[in-house]
Amino acid sequence: MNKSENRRSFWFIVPSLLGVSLFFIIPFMMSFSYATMDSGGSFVGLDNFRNLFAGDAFRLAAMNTFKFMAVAIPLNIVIPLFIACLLNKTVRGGWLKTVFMSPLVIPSACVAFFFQSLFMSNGLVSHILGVNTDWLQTSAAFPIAVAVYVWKNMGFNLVLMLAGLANIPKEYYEWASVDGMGSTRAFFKITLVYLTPTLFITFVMSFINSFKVFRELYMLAGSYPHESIYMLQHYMNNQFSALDYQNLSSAAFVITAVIALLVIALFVVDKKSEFGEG
Amino acid sequence: MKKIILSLVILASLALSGCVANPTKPSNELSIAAFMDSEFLRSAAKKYEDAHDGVTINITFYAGEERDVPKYSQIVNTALMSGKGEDIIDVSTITWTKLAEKEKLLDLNGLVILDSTQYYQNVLDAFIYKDRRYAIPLCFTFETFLFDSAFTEKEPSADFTIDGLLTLAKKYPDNRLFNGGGAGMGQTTLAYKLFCLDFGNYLDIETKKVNVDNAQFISLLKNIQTLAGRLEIEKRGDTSLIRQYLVYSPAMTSNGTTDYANMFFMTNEAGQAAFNTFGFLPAINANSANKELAADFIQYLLSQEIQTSPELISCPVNKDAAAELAKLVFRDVSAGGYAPDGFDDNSLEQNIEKFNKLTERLSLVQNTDRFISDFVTAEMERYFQGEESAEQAAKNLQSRLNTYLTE
Repeated sequence: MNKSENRRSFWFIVPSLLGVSLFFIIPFMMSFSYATMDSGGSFVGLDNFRNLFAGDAFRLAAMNTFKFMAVAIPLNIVIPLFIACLLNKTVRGGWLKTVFMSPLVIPSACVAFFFQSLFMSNGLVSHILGVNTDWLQTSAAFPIAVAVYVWKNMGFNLVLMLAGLANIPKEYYEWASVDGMGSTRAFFKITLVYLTPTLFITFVMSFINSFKVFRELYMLAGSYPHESIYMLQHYMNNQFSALDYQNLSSAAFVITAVIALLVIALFVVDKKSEFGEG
Repeated sequence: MKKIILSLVILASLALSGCVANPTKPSNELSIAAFMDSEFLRSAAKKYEDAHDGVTINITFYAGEERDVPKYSQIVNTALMSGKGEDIIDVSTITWTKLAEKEKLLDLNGLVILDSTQYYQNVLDAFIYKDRRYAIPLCFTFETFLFDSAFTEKEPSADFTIDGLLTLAKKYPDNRLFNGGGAGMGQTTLAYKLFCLDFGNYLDIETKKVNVDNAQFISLLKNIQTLAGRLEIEKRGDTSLIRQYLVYSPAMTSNGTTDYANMFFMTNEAGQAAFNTFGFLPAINANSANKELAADFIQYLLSQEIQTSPELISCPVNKDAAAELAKLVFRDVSAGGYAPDGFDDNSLEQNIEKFNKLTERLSLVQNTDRFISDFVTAEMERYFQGEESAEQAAKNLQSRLNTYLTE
């Protein structure tokens, strides 16, 4: 691309650049000024960040979010992978794909209602167990949150993985079989290796979607849920409701920095891998 | 090119962050944000305008359009946080301590003069937060237990702490404890009222410390559980009745023979009782350009002339106004022939004296933070409905309150 083409192409991206700058980049940079000021508008340096980390609520939210990601993201990859491998072997699995995809298009309010009817004190689970327990107000809230997330998101990963599996030539498995390779070894040596780019995408998507589970959790348990499912999004949302710009901006900066570092690290790893270069 | 784009974005950010609200100049125009429509406030503003040439008072009653508390709270918060908002803010439905923490409300100490001989000082002082006075109540209500003389003759020294209630429950196992004519009080309501009486033991808002996961809270829940079905309590919290107690009390209660001797507060171990404010609770916006005028108007609202207004539908914080109102009511009921037999001016004076003595115990303001009350009542409700143990309720509440306070 020569210089004049380069300049011409710049004008094509100007409208979207303006939009992104106006609605995302500029407000985000402006919010940094709030993070360094007190409520009276005086400069306080990094005090707000110090207060943020000193607060029990932020630490609880960060720890829960980390725990949630550590448990839910691997599950959201392993379970669809297992199902995709099974479906890949069956010819007539189309309707099953639709079944697994359907939670993705169900509105959050319906998801919340469904899980509430299962786990509330007079819900199905309590009825079956013969108890009177609101499970969302107990430590069972965490596995329920993981279940909501996996149930809602695995359909998307499943479709991606099925597409990835379809791209692996069948001949590889035949050659491996001729060479005496067992199915488990073939899974690790062929399936997982050739599925790496897909797994990378599903990991990134699962990571992004793990933040979106807040909608369902909020509808299920409100802005102050059981301590095990109080996430960073709850913290941010409550700070916004209280219009505490200082805490909100500081938290937004910390979270953005962590996410950015993680995504950069992922892309570096991906680039270094054989498939990332392709 | 990249450098140019980056520079433009940074410049735009800096330019926009410089956009702050222009400070307004002092004027004779006073603005007031109120939650609920109030004839008292309208009438007081009109009188103030008439008495002060050139002063205009604009009142916005948000409840007319935005009927819920969260919406009003959001409107006021947004305005105050952006350096705007009315000069006087009604904080009756807002967690005003959070606004005070953010220095959005003015300390009224020194700006509004509060002579302790003139006011129910304990009521006013219950609003002191971190040695500052951000909000000043104009009137108050409270709830009492009323008993007929037959009961109080048997139990002349009945004590209405939680332990006192339990003792009575054991002593009269076959009776309902409180045989009043008013609405019954549920377990959660009673438990929450007792929780509020010991609010300071459970929660320290100033230092953000929570101490609910303890034996005191657990035994509170368990004790209230034992009173199930025996809690028919006559409440007299509602407002205009309080004023009439001063006159009516002998005729008001169940068999017409009781007086203030039979009216009891529910108290904590220290003998302190709780009260509520009713309606408009003024605070001054720290960004107001009319701080002196706003303070002067609040002082005016506390004056005997305004506090005697019939539109102020609960007990005025001004003692003389309270007495004056009682006399006005007595004059009216006497003229109508409804005064209790044998009740004269002398009885009225005695009642006013008793009333003033009784209200000295009102030194705790009922919690008005809706989040805290929601958390506490929700956990209590779960316990009373058998969804969780008292220990689990205490643990959950501890965690939830701690999260809320440390956010």
